[in-house]
Amino acid sequence: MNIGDKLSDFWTKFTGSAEVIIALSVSVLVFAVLYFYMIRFLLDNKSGGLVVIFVLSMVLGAGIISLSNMDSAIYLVIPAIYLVILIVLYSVELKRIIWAHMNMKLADVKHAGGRSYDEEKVENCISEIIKALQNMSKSDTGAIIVLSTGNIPSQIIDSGVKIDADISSALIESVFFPKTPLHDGAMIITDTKIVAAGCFLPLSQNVDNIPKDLGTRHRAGIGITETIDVVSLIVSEETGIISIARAGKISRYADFATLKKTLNKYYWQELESARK
Amino acid sequence: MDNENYRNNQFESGESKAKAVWRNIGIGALALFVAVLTVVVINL
Repeated sequence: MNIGDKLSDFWTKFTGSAEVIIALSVSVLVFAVLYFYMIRFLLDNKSGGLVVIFVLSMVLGAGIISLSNMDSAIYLVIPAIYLVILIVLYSVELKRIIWAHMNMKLADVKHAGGRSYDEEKVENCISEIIKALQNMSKSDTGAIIVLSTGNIPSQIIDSGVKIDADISSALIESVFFPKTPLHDGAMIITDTKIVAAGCFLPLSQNVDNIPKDLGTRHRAGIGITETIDVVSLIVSEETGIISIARAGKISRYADFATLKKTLNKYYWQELESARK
Repeated sequence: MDNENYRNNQFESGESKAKAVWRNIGIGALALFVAVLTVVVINL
């Protein structure tokens, strides 16, 4: 049977009954949604070349299968191979997307009860964090502190050491003191507690918009804010500059007023809204 | 450290909203084309 006959048969089948039309339309919709997210994911990860190869291989595959007597179901091998390649090549990125979706649910559950804070305790936490950051800035001690609303995935907490201690500048500075076991990882703060330290964070993959002079610590600080709604406070080991990362953007040279504003926003707005 | 000069030194990323919408329309059209192709070929 040649291609003309095959297409003619398909058209007859397509126009045959309402059930067939609905079934084919649903199939098109399902495949379109799958391909949409696949193509968008590849483009988001700067893999336009893979999209071109995918479309060309689909067109070429369609031609070969139409002209030969091969089983047309073999055609589905092409998108299947692409899905496997996508999962293997972009496992980290896919994991981040899954985390991001999981975290929204975690935050909803965790703060469903709601509780308010003692103003004095919060002010004490804010001043202790600022004091620690400024002391570490003066002594060029590298540090990374993540302010979370309880939405940090357990994988990240488990990668470090759980602390569950009250916030104090002495403890923060001790953790980041060079040559101590936990100084190289990130400290996670949730509410008025230091939850964990020495945690490994995903690095930012945004190579275009982050200056080359920012090292791994800054990339980790930015990376975690790209996928999860948290704020990172970073002290540079080389320059002592304090930076604030939020939603994948970094603001450098944070002074007392900026830190105070950020921490006030974290305690009085972000935590409050997360509790609702 | 010159805080005043550099405090707002932000590194913006991302696209404008309109550009993102057109990008999604483009991706959607491409996805629809490949989806139609797939359904036609597997039903031949």
